[in-house]
Amino acid sequence: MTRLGLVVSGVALAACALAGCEVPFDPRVPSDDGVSLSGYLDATADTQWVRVELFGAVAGTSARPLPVAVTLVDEGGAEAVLDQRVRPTVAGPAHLFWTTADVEPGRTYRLDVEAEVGPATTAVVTPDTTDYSVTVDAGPQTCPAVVTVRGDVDLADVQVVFEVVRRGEVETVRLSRARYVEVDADGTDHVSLYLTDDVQEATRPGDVVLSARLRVSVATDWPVGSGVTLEDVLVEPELGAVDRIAGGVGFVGGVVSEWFAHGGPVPCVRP
Amino acid sequence: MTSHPGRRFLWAALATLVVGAAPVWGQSVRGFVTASGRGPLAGANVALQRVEAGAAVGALRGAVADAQGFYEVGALEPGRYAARATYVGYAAALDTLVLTDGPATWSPELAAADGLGEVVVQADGGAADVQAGLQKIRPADLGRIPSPDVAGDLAVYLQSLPGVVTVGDRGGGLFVRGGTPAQNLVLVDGAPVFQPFHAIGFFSAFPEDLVGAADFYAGGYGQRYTGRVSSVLDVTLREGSTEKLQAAGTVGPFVVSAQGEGPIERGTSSWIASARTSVVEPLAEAVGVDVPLRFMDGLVKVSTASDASRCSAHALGTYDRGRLDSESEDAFEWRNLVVGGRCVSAPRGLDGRIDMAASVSHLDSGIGPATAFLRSDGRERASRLTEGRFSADLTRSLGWARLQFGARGSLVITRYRFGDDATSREDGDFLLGGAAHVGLEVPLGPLTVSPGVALVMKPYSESFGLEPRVRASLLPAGPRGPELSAAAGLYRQSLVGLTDERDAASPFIAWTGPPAGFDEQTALHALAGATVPLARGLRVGVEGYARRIDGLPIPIWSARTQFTVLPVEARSTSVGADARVEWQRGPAYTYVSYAYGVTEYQAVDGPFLVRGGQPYDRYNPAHDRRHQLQMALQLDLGRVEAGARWQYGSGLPYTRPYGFDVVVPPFGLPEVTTAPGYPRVVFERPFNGRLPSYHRLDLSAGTDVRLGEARLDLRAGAINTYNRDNVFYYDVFRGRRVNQLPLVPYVSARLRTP
Repeated sequence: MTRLGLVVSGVALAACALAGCEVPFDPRVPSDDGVSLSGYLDATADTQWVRVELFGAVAGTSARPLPVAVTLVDEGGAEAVLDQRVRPTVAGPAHLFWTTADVEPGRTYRLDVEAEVGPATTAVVTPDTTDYSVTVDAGPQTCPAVVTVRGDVDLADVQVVFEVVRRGEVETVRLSRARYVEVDADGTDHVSLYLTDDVQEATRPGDVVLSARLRVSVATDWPVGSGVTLEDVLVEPELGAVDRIAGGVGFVGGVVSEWFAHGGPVPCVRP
Repeated sequence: MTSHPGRRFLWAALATLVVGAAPVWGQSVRGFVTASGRGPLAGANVALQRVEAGAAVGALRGAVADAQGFYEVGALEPGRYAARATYVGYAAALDTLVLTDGPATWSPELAAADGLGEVVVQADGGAADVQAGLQKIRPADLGRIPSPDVAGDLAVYLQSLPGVVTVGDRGGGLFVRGGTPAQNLVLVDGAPVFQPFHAIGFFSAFPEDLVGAADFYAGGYGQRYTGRVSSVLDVTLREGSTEKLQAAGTVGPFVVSAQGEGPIERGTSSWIASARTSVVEPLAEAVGVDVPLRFMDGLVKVSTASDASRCSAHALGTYDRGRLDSESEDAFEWRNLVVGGRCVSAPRGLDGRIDMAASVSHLDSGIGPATAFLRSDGRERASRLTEGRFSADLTRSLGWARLQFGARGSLVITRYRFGDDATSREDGDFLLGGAAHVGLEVPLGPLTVSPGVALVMKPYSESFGLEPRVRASLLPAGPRGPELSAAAGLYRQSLVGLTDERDAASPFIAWTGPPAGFDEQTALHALAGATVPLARGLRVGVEGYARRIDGLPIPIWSARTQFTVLPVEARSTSVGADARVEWQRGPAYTYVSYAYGVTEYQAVDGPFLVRGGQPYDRYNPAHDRRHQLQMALQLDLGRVEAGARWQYGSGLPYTRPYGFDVVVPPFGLPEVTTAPGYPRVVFERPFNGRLPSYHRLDLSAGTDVRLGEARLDLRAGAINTYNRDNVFYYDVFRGRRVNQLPLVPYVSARLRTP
């Protein structure tokens, strides 16, 4: 064999050997988490909504219904299977599961998800209304309106809910005021609300405001408090708490909401 | 004048600094060594021997021509000297010089050894000859690394050097010993080029045929180079032929090119021009493969020379656009435009060499969705950078030492826009900066020490900083024996290139001043090594290094699948070592290099992120390649020249996710019926995984045939010969693996006029 032949043979042999050295590459960290849950159960709502997405190997959501079954189980053992609805959003199709089953204050529920990737479950506790009190100091001459929550609970949210006529249709506009929650040393929560600011934020030119109400939602354990950034929350798969959801990530809370009238002098603006 | 050597030196240094002239210690001979009709011969040897009555007197004195072909031999006694200039592949030039008073100029022109045939040159040293981080790259070196085109490119050679890391065969960025592309200074005839490496990684703005010489400092560079903290690539373009008109054209699956050169005034001035465009995109499309990458470049240089000076002007333009992932809509583009002029002269009234350069460099780059990309408002991120620059450097002999000093002034204008709605930044800077430097090259027997310092104006704080540096070389057994070398220094960089660390393969760099709360980047380099000729044709080089860069702006780590560059301050630490072996025996040339390196980023003011209450304050960035092995073989089999190159790189870090989802975070009630939610990637910590190791074999074979007076060069070969699925990067935003090029066979041809 010539020198060139030897070189070519050697290179070919080495190439064959190297080509056989492929190592399978799994880009993901092995995880038992199969689904991602978002939402809350509200003991004062007619319908409960929970968003379920697959905790997948690729980004994005499918426009098809998910092959999963979601069941709400009462602490007494009563089960309700949630229906699925796919709703388009700017972040991709959202897979919403809903039920009109009763949810009551002071009880523990289980949300079970059966999926091909494995089961997931989370416990949801709604607060007992005897454990706390909500007062709202609001009125035509009161600025700001002040919401106060006392007791061993977390203030999940204070929402200003407007009904407006927009382009001839009656719409509901909700503003969360959770970022304005202030906590006293004894654990009492306060939120100050300014009607004029709220109206400006909620409405567009041409809107007609029909009503303004306050929704105060209280939870036994709410994971996100003041001073936490979106980056902080998103980087935690279970949104700041560990083992909330077995077999999945995300968060489903349990709340009790109360409704109050919202009002104040005009103008009533945040100083 | 006093005869005390110390006082004489101080006086000389002061006088030189003030008026650019100094008393003369003995006589000097200087000039330019050129190849007949081909311009400067970097690396040529010049030797002077004093003779009296036909007999040699005293020691043989000599110097090596630099990248501009300039040499200077100082501290000579008046008298008669036999002068000799040599370069491998050329006939030696001989002359007799009579030195009386003042510097003498001798600019020899060397003719090709065969008088008629191709000019084949071989520089001293080669790939294994590294001197304190400096690799002198000569044209003959470039052709020794197989390239997927009959006309090679400087980029291929640079990627064969240990310590130079690319994240893949696309994107164009070079990471040198832990530094990032934005920390590299690339000069072409004294003018900066901000993004010179094309999106197709085998090509740069510097075609092989146009490179006269290139000095590549992987670190430890001297005080002359300021403004960057990682590496320097100083390219000197070749001059066109001053004797005859020549043309060449190439056709291949990657590029087609045309090149021409010729005299403007025979014997003294010339022009050279080149234009290339990539064709891989339409060719791949024709065979049903999507390779959405395109580049083009053009270059023209005019030169004029006399015995005592060489002046040139050049213009360089590049354009790149495409998508790194053919299945992604994310597109990029960038444009370089550089116009510059340079004069290197040794005027009769001045004992020394003056190197003056002026230039304007511009970079325009952006990223956006491919469908809307050609519209200016289709860019999601955009950056523009323009620098006007003037520099003057003087080098002269002080007898027992060489003095180097100079100054640089620059005006930089930046404009950038990036980020999503939540983190968008749009800003710009208008910066006046400059630096002055002075240094000595002091031979102390076998030891040569080159201390120096640069006084740098900090444009952002309107203050000054000193950057002391030192380089040293020891030749214990003379110039043909082993060489030990070392370098250390302090380096600063005010201009910041912001990238999204999570997007390792992105070619987009947002150029700006230091972000709010940041000072300039400051680096400390220390390195030492040895080059040992073991036998005839066999040379081994080893080098170890450590470097630290402070003030590094690193984008915060977010789980949001969107671009963010809100920075936190980090410190980069890199340590490593590399070894090179180069063996030329008969028709066979073998080059083997190995590099080991570790690069770590450490947060300075708080962790990069906190997960589950645990802070993560350090990680190995995406270019932390621990092991790198390269082997190149070239066989000259008479009519056919065969080459092979095998590359191995251990896996690069990437952020290994748990998975992806869309969540509605409970900032208040998560209203899932109305809120769209946030797409996110859930990961444990940055760069917690490593991609599979990378290896690839490229083969090539070439020959040439005469077509009348013209010559046709043919080359055929294959990239990734065993078609390995090398991972380019893992798109952590989309959960997609993107591979590098598969097996790509090619045939390319070049037609050249004599």
